[in-house]
Amino acid sequence: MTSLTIYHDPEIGSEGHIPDPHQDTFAKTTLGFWLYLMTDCVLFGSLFITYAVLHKSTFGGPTSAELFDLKTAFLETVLLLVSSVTCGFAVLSSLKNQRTQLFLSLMATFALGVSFLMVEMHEFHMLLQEGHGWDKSAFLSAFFTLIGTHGLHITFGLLWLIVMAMQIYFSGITVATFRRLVLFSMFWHFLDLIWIFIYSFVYLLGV
Amino acid sequence: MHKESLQQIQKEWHGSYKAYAIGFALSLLLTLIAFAIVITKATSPQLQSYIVVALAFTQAIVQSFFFLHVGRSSYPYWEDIAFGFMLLVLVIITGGSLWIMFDLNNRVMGTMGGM
Repeated sequence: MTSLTIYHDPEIGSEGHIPDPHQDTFAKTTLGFWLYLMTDCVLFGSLFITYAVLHKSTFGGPTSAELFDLKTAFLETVLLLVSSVTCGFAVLSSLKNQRTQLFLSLMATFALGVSFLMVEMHEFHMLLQEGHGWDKSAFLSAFFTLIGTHGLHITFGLLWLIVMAMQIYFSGITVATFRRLVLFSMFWHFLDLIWIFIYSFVYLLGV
Repeated sequence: MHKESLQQIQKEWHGSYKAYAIGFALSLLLTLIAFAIVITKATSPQLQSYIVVALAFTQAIVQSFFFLHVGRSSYPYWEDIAFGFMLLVLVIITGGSLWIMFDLNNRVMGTMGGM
């Protein structure tokens, strides 16, 4: 048996069968997704450290203190934090099969996620309009790469949320849709966690 | 073939409304404190950066515990082992990069300054 057995199960069935390797599909899938999130953490760690090394290399251009608006960053932090909580509520209401509450939570998560993206897009738009694009200095390249990668994750998370909500709407809460909901909540909480570091290290320390 | 039932899977889910409420309140509080300290410039810049970093890591721990359920995987703890390994890799990458880059910076800028 080459497959990874997640849960220790030393007992061989009464007829002498080897335990079915597929029985812990749910635990295996969540573990696999968890491992992906861990590698994503390393990716963001590398981008953070790139930013830390380059954030003073402004090439005569504007510094972070001149560009960043703390109130915008604070607003983004609160939007993402609340959407993280509503996403958790969605999983909790699926446990009790409360469909209305589940869809309301998912819609709130989506609306808050879209608001977050719009605030971020507005910030990027303002920077670009004032001529502070990613091509102006190493600092701005590192900034746009770090924040842009996070924003891209959020964008794909929102697409995932739409598809998943439709699946839950049409097939109800089954083993498969519940698993997708749990994986999405892990992804969304993880993105909120990454944002805390962006908020603290990039914005609060950059001003 | 034995199939997993939905109830069986859902029973193992760790979240609760209470945990989310505590996690949310703590996160919001930590975010607000960090924001207030930077906005009001209440402390010296040096101390301020230490506080902001400390608050960020505190909130990361709060969210990992209350939202991501780190430290509550069951035997044989693959999730927590993977998390620990990820932290080790992160420490090596971030600490090592900072050490190398700032050391290099000091040396290169030092010789240029001396010329």
